[in-house]
Amino acid sequence: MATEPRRVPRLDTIYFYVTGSCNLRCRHCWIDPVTESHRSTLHLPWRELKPVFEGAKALGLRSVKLTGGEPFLHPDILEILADLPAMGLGVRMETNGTLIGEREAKALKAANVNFSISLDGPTPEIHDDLRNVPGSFEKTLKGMAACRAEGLRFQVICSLYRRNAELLPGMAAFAESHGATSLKVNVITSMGRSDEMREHGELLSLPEVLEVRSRMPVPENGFRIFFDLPPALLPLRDIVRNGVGTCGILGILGILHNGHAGLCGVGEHIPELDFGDLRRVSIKEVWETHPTLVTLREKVPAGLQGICGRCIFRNACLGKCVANTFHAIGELYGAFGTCTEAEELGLFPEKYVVEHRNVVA
Amino acid sequence: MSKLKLNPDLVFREDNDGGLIFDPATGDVQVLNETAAFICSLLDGTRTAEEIVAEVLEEFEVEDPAAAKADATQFIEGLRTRSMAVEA
Repeated sequence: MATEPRRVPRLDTIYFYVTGSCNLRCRHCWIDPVTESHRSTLHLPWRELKPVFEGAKALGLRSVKLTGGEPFLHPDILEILADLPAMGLGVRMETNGTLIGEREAKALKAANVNFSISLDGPTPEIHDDLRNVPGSFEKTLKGMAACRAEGLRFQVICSLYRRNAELLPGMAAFAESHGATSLKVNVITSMGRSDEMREHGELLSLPEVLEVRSRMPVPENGFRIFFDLPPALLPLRDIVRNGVGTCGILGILGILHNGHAGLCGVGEHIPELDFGDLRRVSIKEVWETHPTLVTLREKVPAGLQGICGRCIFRNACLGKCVANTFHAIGELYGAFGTCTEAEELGLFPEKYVVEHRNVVA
Repeated sequence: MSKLKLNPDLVFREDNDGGLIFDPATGDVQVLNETAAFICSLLDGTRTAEEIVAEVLEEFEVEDPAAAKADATQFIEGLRTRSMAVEA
């Protein structure tokens, strides 16, 4: 009997790793870009990649997240910011903010970009320590000021590690005072450069992370705080307020600075997750037929393993970050490390352990 | 009026801040705010929809009781329409 072909989902979002360069040297970066101060050399001209995005529209593409490296190092970034909305695409961006002046802020405004700026503490001692370039704190605050001058609001992303743990609850008010409407807390995990931070005891244990989260304020003025933990480890109050916060990996494709497709951005470092050069193979072929993506669609979420396969949030959380899991254990659909650790430590809430009926072996 | 209970095929979890309804057949989970979770906690087969709405109005301080009553009634009706709440 013939089997019905599995439905290919919409390619909803492209994560575009615009450049392989960054003007900072962040000690926790999982992408590990080359440090360049003014202009990227690790990128492709936009004209070479623009047809790829046009091709992706036929696959359902609705939005593009610009990240890097530092996107503003790409010499064509203003053209990219003009072209994507003109193609009918929503644009998001992750930036360190240090290169945002009046011209860049106007471009963000014209393109209606939903963007976030990284800031790891309320003092240069903390921020520059992690970003590893003296003066980056002041430059980031100047970038935020340029955004405020254009009436732009943004999200602040703060990476949690031992040195800023005590100050983190105060970061919401600090970020808001500089123009942010929300704060996202990313927990630094051992991936990329942060392996060295773990060796030096700079990363927090899971119980320490949960303790910091429990001290976060609950803003009553509309300001929002997103603590980037799996939903099962968040208080229900946060989920009611912010939603489950799924990654959406089944509708995402990464495009790396060299024009290769990849699962998120990890294709740069993990050959199995590099899906090939999009100047030579069509994005349609990659999206519809690449074996890794086909397997991913078969296994996630119904084939998720371990605690993820037994979690009440399985279908919403989708294993939290399959790229991180692949990096850790070499499997896309294994259990997410933080949740496995929580279960081993007796910190995974028993009430969220359930039996799913639709499972894939 | 018939008394209502949560569909026994579903799993309900709650705490002080809200609740979840989980469908083991599909894996879907619905997030409930505090009021919705309170309503679901009363779907135990001993109350009618009207009795549940009355308890909601007793439990929560509301500025507009008529609007709150309409919201609670609509939520319960929505559960019934989707077979998440059934007759006991």
